[in-house]
Amino acid sequence: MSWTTLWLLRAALLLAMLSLWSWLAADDDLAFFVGHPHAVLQQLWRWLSTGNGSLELYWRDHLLTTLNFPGTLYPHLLITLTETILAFLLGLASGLAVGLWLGLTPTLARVLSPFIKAANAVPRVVLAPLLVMWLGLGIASKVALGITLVFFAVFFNVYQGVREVSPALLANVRLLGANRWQLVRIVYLPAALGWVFSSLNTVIGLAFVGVVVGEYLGSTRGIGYLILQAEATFDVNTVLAGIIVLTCCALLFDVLLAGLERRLSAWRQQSDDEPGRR
Amino acid sequence: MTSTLALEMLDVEARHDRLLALARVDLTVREGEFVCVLGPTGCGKSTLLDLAAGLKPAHGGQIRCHGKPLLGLNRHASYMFQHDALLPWRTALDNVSLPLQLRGLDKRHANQQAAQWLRRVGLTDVPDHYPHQLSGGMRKRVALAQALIHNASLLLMDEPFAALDAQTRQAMQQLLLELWGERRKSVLFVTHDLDEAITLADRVLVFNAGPASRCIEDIRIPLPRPRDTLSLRKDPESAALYQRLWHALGHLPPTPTNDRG
Repeated sequence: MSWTTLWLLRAALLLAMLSLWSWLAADDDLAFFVGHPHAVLQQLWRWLSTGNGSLELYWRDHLLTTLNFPGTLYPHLLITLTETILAFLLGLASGLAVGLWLGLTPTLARVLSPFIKAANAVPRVVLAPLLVMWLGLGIASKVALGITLVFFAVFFNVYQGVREVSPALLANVRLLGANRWQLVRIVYLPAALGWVFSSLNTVIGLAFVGVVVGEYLGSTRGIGYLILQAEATFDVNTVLAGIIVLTCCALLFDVLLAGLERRLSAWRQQSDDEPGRR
Repeated sequence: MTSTLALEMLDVEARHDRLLALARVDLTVREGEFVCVLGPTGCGKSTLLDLAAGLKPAHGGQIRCHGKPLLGLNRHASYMFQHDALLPWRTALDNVSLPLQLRGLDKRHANQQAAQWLRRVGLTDVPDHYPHQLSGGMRKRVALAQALIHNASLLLMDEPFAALDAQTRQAMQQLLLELWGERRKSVLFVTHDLDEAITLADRVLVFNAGPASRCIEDIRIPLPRPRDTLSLRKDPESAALYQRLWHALGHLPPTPTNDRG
């Protein structure tokens, strides 16, 4: 199949789905549940171009500055993205550090393993009320929830990566004169990073899920908050608009990270990575 | 007298769990000598190299390297493994320069020397390739360059060319002979290929099938050096040696201690 045909087919499929949606939405009773594409677009446009879009930045109780945007959406979007990126980076760093540490100290890993399994078995979403009580309705509780999801994904990958380094590789580098620290830097860390880089996509997805769910469960700002407000008034079009905004962000992250992944794991055997990488 | 011995094993035993892999092995490698260990697959030949490298402790007997008892990792040894031990996330050049970088040489100088070694093993076009982009034979060349640049006085090789096709294997043997001839380091080379042993070695130690394998014959290979892998094929003397090794391998006495623990 040529490139043009492929994209034509994809465009046709999109058009077909939108037509089906419009056709369903023509019925007023049904439109209450499925919304209307036109109304969703209008809502998106309202978000982007009208309303109060100011965001006050505080440090402790001290007002730093106030950002002004041309629409309601921007401050909420900015908050959600900030939370996601923070959860992603902090979860990544902590997962990497703890994974390396436990991977290199098998005794400790054996002592801790039931606790780690238990912690990972806890459905993370149920932690949200706790986190809100501890950290308040601000971004900290959302970031924390995102971290609990990201941390374990990264941790298990890194731990596995460290444990599965080939013994011949280790023996070779040791015989070539590496001390323990060099062994970590030259063998363990790159092996662990290899696993991490190949799962960046999944990991940012988890950060997103944690953050938005956190917003649903108690917040004053963020896309999750907007969706929650709309849901309370049975405004299906606004809910759908919120979902579309989130989807676009997720896709954007996906594209950015896929590029990063390719660059960082050039040493890996490249497989055909067109569809369904997740 | 011990000073002329690069490696000496006296009455060495090794076990895997409770299974006796090596029983009462006596073995010496003189300075600058190329010794092949020949034996059927699974006779504990790899274990022998692990012992010599200090990767595993012996369960009995004594191992000396340059006259000193071997304690822990053997710092005089360089090991070429049967399977790839190149770092997959480093390019060919970075893999070869690794031993120099570990020694604290700055990256520029290390890479200069590494590039020279890559040329010497016949790889000029691929310094920036990662191992997965290289063929099996090319990876072996990189591994050989890495082992040689380390400049250890004892080179341990565990069937390094076994996985290659026949032509590539012969080319690699020729390359090894040429590079070894320049510096004459001591080599302990494990193989199950009779031709390979005759082509390369000064001395061939024949081991019997495991468990509890040991050296059952010590055969000198008096073929003149430098050797040419191609002409050795038709050489009557090497044919006679082949027969001798064949008999040594084929008419094995029954293993005396066949206890499986």
